[in-house]
Amino acid sequence: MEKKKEEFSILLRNCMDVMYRVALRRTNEKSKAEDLVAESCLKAWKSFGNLRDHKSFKSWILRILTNTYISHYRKAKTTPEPIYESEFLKENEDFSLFEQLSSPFVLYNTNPEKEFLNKIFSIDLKKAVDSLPEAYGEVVTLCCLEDIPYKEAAKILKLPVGTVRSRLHRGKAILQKILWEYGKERRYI
Amino acid sequence: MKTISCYEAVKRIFELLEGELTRTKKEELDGHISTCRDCCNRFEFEELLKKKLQKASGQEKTPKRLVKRIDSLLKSF
Repeated sequence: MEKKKEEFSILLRNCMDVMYRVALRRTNEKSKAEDLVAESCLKAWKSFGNLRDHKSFKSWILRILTNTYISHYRKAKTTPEPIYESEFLKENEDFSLFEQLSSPFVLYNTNPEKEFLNKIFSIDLKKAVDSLPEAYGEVVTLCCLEDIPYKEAAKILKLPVGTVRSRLHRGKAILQKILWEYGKERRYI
Repeated sequence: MKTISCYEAVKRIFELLEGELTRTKKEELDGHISTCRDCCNRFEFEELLKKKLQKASGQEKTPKRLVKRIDSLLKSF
């Protein structure tokens, strides 16, 4: 029992930051995110004996967190999504920040794309991620920010791998469009 | 080694950054990037953007209050 508890404790501690970030991304509220993490830990401990491969602990516990959120918190969420997809990027429209910033006519030794990234603040980057519609934000958070493989993300979110791929592509395009708009507002471009 | 188009290279750049590219496909991408300035710049840009996004979002650590809460939860198991 003690050995099992110690194993669980070590595995859990390695995942706590990612759990908290995913919870925060979903609930948009620190206290709710903390409750979600604590509740997920409790559920995880109860079924830890059923987890055969400890290597998949991270995706397993994130799956528990996602299910807990869906069953308890999503219904209670009163704040609307910060943006709607169409405000930034029309349906079927693609966007690349690089393509907008790079120009075939610039001098060889200038690099407007990197200059843009050097100017943009961390707070804007975070705000842009937080502004993503939920369906895209959850995939971008898992695959792009937390480096979780597509297959694992698909299991966590209970989505087909193809949907994860397409949402990730679209999520990134929206994210880059938001950054483009921020850059224009702040006259970086 | 198979040569790839810029369109295919860009697709693979994203897969590479997400750790989803096979070794062979990575070698083909490396071959393309070494000879294409645009795709090389694109790779550097997307890589830097990803790092900046991860840094900006990853700053959020588990609050001490929550760590304590989990600790007492673990003790109660």
